[in-house]
Amino acid sequence: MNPIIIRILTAAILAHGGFDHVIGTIAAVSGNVLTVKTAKGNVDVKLDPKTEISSNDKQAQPSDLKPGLRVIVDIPEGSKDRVAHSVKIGTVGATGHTQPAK
Amino acid sequence: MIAVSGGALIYLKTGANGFSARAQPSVAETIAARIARSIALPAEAKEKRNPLADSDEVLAEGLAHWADHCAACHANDGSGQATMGRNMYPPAPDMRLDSTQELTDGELFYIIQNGIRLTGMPAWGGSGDASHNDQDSWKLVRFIRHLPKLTFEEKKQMEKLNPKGPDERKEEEEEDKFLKGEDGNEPHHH
Repeated sequence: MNPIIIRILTAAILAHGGFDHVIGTIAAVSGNVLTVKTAKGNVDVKLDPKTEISSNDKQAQPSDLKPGLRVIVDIPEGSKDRVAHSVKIGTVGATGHTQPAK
Repeated sequence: MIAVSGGALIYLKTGANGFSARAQPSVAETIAARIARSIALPAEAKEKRNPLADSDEVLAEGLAHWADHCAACHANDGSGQATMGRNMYPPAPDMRLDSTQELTDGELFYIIQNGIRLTGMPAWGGSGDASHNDQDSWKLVRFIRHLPKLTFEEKKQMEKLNPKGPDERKEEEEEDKFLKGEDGNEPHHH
C-alpha cells in the first residue's frame, strides 16, 4: 500500500498549513460536537456557525454529517477549544456506496 | 522632540513589548497609522480610475492572482486569517470591511504597487516579478471589491490555486482519494 495512504489512515492528527487535520469516519454527532473515529481512537471536535462544511467542494450542512461517512476536519493548529475551521465530507458512505453529489 | 523621543522609548520598553510582533496594535496606533497612510497617499493616486471594466474574465483572473500571490497573508477570503497575516504587526486587515472597501480604486492600486512601509505589505509594482504587472494590480482591485461577496464555491476554487509544496500537494491528493474511497480501503462500519 502507498506509504502516504498508510500515514493518512494511521495518523489521528496531521498538521500543516496552520491546521491540524483529523482524518477518519464519523462516529457520532451530538449537538455541536462531532466525534471522529480515527485509527488512534475517537476525537471530539466542535462545530460552530463559522465552520465550513463541504462535500465534493460544494457547501454542505451540519445535517449532512452522518455516522459512517469519511471526513477530514481542519482545526487551527494548537487550538484548545478544538473548534473546526472546516469539515470535508467524503463521497463514500458507510456501506461503501457513493453519495449523491450535492 | 526630546519629550516625544522619550515617550516613544518608554512605550517601546514597556507598553509595546519591545520589538515583538505578538502584541496587537492599540486603537490609537491603528488610527494614527491610517491617518498617516491617508496623508501620504498622493492626491493623483486617489483619483485614478480602474482602466479595466468589470467582467467575469477580469474577476476570474483577479481571483486566480489573489490565490497565488496574496492569500498567503490575506487569506483567500480577504479576512487576514492566514498564518502569516494574522501573526504580522500590524496583522493583515480584514479587507472585506469598510476600512478597506472605502478606499478608492486608485488608493488600492497605489498600495498594491507601492506597498506600505513598516508593515508586511510589499511593493508589487516595479518589483521585477515577471508574474505581476500593472494590469494584474488593477485586476486585484476588481477582486478586492468582490471580496465581501465571495462565494463558498469560489473559496474552494481558490484553495486549489494556492501555492503548495510538493509534499502538501501530494498529501492533498491522497486526502482527496480518501474522501472519494479511492484509497483501496473499506470505510469504517458502525
